[in-house]
Amino acid sequence: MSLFAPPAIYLVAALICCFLPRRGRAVLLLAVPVAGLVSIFSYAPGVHEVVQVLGFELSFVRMDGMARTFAVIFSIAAALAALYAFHVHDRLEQIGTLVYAGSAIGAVLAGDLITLFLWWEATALASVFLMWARRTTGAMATGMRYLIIQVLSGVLLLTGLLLHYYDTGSIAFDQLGVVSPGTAFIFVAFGIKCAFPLLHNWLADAYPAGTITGTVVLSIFTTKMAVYALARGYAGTEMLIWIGSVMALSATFLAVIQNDLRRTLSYSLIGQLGFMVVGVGIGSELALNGAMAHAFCSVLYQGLLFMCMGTVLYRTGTSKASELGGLARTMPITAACCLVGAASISAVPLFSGFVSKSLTLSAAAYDGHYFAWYALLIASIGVLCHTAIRIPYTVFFGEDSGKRPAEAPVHMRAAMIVTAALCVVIGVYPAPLYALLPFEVDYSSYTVAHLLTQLQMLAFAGLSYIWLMRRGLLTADKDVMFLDTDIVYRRWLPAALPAVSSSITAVWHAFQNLCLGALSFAYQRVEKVAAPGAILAQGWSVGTMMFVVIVVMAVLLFANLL
Amino acid sequence: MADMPTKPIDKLFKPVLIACGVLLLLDLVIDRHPKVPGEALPFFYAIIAMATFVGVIFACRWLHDVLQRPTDFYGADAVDAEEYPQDGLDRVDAAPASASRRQDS
Repeated sequence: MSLFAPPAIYLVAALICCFLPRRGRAVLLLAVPVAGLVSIFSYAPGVHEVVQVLGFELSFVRMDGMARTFAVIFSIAAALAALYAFHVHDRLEQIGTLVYAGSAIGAVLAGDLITLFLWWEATALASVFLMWARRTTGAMATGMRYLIIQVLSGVLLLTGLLLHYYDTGSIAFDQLGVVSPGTAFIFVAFGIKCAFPLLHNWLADAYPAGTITGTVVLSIFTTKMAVYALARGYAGTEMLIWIGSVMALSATFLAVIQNDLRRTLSYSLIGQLGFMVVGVGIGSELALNGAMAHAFCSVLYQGLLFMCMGTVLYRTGTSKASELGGLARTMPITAACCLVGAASISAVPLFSGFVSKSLTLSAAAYDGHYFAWYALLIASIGVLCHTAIRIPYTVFFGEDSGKRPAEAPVHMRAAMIVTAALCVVIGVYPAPLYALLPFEVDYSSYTVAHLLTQLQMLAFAGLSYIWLMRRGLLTADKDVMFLDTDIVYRRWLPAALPAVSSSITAVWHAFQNLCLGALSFAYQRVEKVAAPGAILAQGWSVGTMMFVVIVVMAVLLFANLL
Repeated sequence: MADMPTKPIDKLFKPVLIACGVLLLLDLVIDRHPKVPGEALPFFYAIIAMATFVGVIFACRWLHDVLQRPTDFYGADAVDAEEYPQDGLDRVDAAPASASRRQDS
C-alpha cells in the first residue's frame, strides 16, 4: 500500500498524533481528511492496485464508482467531525478517530476479502476508544460489550472467508450471494455491523455511551461500511428487501419511546439503514444508486442531528427529553441546524433526504416490491414521529425546561452550519451527488406529483402531531430506560448462569455416581466368581484351556467368513 | 429573545390546517401517476400519513408501558443511570455571558 493511499494517510497521521501537542493534534485531525480527499481524487476511476503477499493478491485500493462514493462521504464527514471536535484534547480519542476513519475508508477501498477483514477488525478496535474515552464505569462496560460483538462479526467474516476460499479458491471481494456456508457466514458478519433485526442492539447500546464528539464519529462509519459491503457482495439478494423493511419499521417504534435523544437518533439511524438495505436487496441500478445516495445524505443529516444533540449535552449536561425544552431562546443557531437536519431526514423538498429517499422508493415501486414500498412509506412517516418533529419541538420549542444554556462554541457552530449547508445544497442541486453515484442517473425528484405527495405526508403528519398534543394523547417523557434484545445477554443469561451451572454439576455428580455404582457391581461379581473355591479359582488343565482357545478362534474365523 | 407562549404548538394549528386543506384540493386536480396498488385512491398520502402517525403514537403508548424500566435497571453505574462526566462538558449559562459582554462594551 502506498503511503499516499487514503487509509495510509490516516494511519501515518495517527502515529504522528502520538507526539503532537494539543492544538497540533486538532489541526492534524482537520487536515488529514482533506489530504485523504485529494488522494482519493488523484486515483483515476477504475484503478485496481494489487500487491502480492504470501501468494495472495491483495488489493488495498480499488477505486470504482461505488468505493469512491463512500470514500468521499467518509472523508467529508471525518473533516466535519474533526471541526466539531476541535476543542477535544484527549489524545486517545483523537488517535482512535484517525485510525477508525482510515480503517473505514480502507475497508470500502478493499478489493479482496482478506484486506476487507483486516480493516473490518481495525474499525472495531479503534472505534471502541470513542466510548472508553468517556472514562466512566458504564462506558467501559458498554465498550466491552460493543467490542465483543464487533469482534464476533470479524470472526464470522474470517470463518466465511476461509470456507469461501476452500470452496472457490478465490478471495476476490465481488458479488458473492448467499450460495454456500462461507458466503452465509460473511452475510451474517455484514448483518451484525449493519444492525439487522435482532442483531441491532449493539448500536443503540453503544452510540449513546460515546463521548459527545465520539458519538458523531461513530454514527458515520461502521454501519455505512456494512451497507457498502452488502452492496458489493449481496446486491439483488431478495432476503435483504425483507430485512430492510423490518429494520425500517421496527426502529420506528423503538425510536419513538426513548427518553435519551441520542438513543432515539441511534434507532433512527437503524431505520435509515433499512432504506439502504432495501435498496441493496432490490439490486437494480436505480435502487443501488438510491442506497448509495441515501448513505451519502444520511451520513450528513444524521451526523448533523448527533452534533446538535451533542451540543445540547455539552451545554446542559443532559440529552434526555424529560429534562429539556425551550432551548431555542438561547441556542438559536443549534436549533436552526437541528431543523435543517430534521427537514433532511424527513425528506422535505429542497433538503437532501428528498432527493435520495425517493430513489429507493421509486425502485421498489418500479420493480413491484409493494410490501417494501409500503414499509418504507410508513417508516418515512415514522421518522416524523420520532426525529423530525419530536426532537426539535421537545428540545428547542416545547415546554420550557428553565435551562438557559449558551449557544454552541464557535467551532461546533461552524461544523453544524457547514453540515446543514451541505444538506441544503444537495437538496437544491443534487446533480453533483448523482454524478458521484456508481450508475448513471436518469431520475428527477422534483416532479409535481412527488412534491405534492411528500408535502401531503408532511402536512398531515404535522397536523396529527398537533392534534395529539392538543388532546394530551402524547406520552409524557419520563426519566426511564427501555428494554431491547440486549436484555438477553445483560440480564437473562447472567441470571440463568448459576442455575445452568448447578444443573450441569448435578448431572455430572449423577453420572459419576452411576459409573461408581456400575464399577462396584462389576467388582462384586468378579469377586464372587474369583473367590476361593469359586469357578475361576479352580485349577484348570492345559487341555481344557486349549479347547477354550480353539473354540474362540473357530468363532472368530466363522465371523470373519461372514 | 422574547419569552414564548406556554403552548407554541397552538399557534401552528390553523396554518397547518389551511395547508392541509389546500393540499387536499390540489390532490383532486393533479395527477399523481400512481404505481402501487392503493396509491390511486383519493387523498391516499394524507390518509396514510395520519393513520400511520396516530397508529405509531398509540402503539408506542403501549410499548412505553411494557418496555420501560428504571434507569438503574442494569445497575447504578450503567450508562443510563450515570451523569455525563463534568470534565467533558462546558455548561455555560447564556444570560450572564451576554450581561458580561454588555459590561465589557
